[in-house]
Amino acid sequence: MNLDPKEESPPPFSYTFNYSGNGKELAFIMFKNIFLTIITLGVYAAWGRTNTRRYLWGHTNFLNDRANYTGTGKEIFLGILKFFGIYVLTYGATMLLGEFLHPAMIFALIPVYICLLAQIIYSGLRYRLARTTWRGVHFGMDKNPVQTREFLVLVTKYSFITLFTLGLGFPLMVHKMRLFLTSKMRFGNTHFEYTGTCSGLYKIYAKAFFLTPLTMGLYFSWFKVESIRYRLENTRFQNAHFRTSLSGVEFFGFAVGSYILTVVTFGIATPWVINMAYKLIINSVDLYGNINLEEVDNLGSQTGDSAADAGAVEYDIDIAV
Amino acid sequence: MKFQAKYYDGQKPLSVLVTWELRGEAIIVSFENGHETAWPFSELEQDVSHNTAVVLLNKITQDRIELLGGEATLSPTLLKQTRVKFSAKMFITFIIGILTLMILYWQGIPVLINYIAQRVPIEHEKMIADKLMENVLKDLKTCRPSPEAENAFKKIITSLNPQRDLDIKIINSSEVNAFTFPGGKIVIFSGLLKQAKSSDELAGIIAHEISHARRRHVLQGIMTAVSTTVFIQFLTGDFSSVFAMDPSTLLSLGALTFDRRMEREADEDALERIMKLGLNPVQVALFFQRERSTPDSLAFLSTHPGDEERAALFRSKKIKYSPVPLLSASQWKSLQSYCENTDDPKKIKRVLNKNERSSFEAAKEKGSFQHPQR
Repeated sequence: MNLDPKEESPPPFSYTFNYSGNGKELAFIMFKNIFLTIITLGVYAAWGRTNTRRYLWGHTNFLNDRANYTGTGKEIFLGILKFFGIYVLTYGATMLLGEFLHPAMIFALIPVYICLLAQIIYSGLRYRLARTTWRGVHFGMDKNPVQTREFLVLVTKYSFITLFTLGLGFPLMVHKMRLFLTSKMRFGNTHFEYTGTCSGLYKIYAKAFFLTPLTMGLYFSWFKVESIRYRLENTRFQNAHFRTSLSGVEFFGFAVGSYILTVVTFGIATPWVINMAYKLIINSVDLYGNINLEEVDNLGSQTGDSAADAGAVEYDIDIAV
Repeated sequence: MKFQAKYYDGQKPLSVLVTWELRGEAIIVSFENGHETAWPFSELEQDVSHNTAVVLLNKITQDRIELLGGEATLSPTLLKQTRVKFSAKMFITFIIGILTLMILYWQGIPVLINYIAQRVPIEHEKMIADKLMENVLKDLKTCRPSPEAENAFKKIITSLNPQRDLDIKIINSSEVNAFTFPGGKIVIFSGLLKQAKSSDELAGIIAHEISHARRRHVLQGIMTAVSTTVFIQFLTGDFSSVFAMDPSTLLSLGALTFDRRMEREADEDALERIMKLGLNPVQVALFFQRERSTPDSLAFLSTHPGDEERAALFRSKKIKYSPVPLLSASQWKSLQSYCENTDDPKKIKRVLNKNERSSFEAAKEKGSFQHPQR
């Protein structure tokens, strides 16, 4: 009797990431950026940011091939100007409302600010993905007004829930945002997937809530690592998920060491610190499972809002890229 | 000669190891299966978004190759940029360049600000004076001087400020100090009257404050503080916080803070002014010696030159006249009692402006003296 042989799935494989940059080269780029930014009264900052990103992206390797940042200084500069314009308008509107109506009217602008923040996160992420390639294939997030509106509504709704629950709703908001954004992110034509749960995130935040004050803040490093681990292990690409071998001790050691180094050198060691941070995190990550790159097709370059990217940098917003 | 490269077709995320070589005006890419393709230079450009490797893009097919050797054989017209290379010489040049810029800023900005401040209409300064004075002088009381005290004060002020364009007042406070506000307003604390031993000492202090007002030092102080803050923010690319420069921030940043250059200028002007009046500058020197609050060893930390240094300045000029005190002994005694009576129990809401002072004077002469209600 013939039995159809079952197709066995290949054993999972660990596809590692590697960061190959060094502090000296990054320092050269960053000090050159500082010098040119000073003599151009800040105009060069956009090109400086591009140079730094190209270096960092260009030294991040996966399967022995580098990532690539395709954004340009001109784009970022125009984005900064646009963001500045929006900022002036918003700031001016706030002042006028408070001046001519009633100072309490400023609170009426809170939903507007939340929407702006959500737009920065969404469009900023879209921009950075659109400007990232690997082996010539673009990452991306589709430009879809319905999707954008959905995200703005999601963030506004869960922001108010967080506000009225005095912060208890924050992990729920983070979970919803991750679920939404990760499912919209893609490499080529293949979407990522987020499999985390709200309860999983609550456990992490609850632990931090109780342990951080008990340990006088020391637990924060372990919380950070747990958050990163949870995020990575629940982010999937095809039949693989990300992992990290980073430990709380390593993160804590790095945090303390980098702080001391930065202070003792009056900030001059910053490029080396950034380099060490990238090395520590990227070298600890791998993609575990099975992937088939032949199934991935390039959908080409897309537009992205560099003003949102400028806003994300300005407000130091974590948009995961 | 053949070199290795990685080939990407731009459709799939797969890289293939290939070899390449220069042949005339083209690059020949050879695959493992023996297939060859020619990329003429006219179709090629360097993908400058890669600054860590030399990557050539075929503009027609959108294929790319990342060179793994042989970059030096390519012509400079094709190769727009080379890989990042660290150079200690460049690094040192940058540091020297930054230090040079900082020095230029440190020396150049005061000159520029002085030029601009002299051209700002005084009315603009007056607009911010009221708010500032309210903050500084709240909880203090105005004085109700006797006619003799008022006349003695008027005599000093008229001698030092013949143009009568500055608004100089005495406020009741035990503090030994005097302040110059924007818009030509000067406030003297009554503690200074008690501490000074002669009218010439007081004249020297008031002349110092008059110089701050005339040279627009308050405005310069604000502009210097704001320019430094804005400059640093622009340098770091933090453009949006420029808009945090609202009026109260501006005032807290720089108002009433003079640097050592300004203080030295004010001392020199005061010396010149009191010598023109035939007063004794040594009296002012005695005041500084007596009031020594800043040891000279710590003078470099202070916004004022050291008291010994200031005293030395006022002793430095040899006077060729017999000095005559500005006020007689009785006039000086009257002036020292300027604040024996104070407004009760009002706090200052707004210091009288020049016009209000005139109407106040007129009302006083008529005998219907009343401090304006605020």
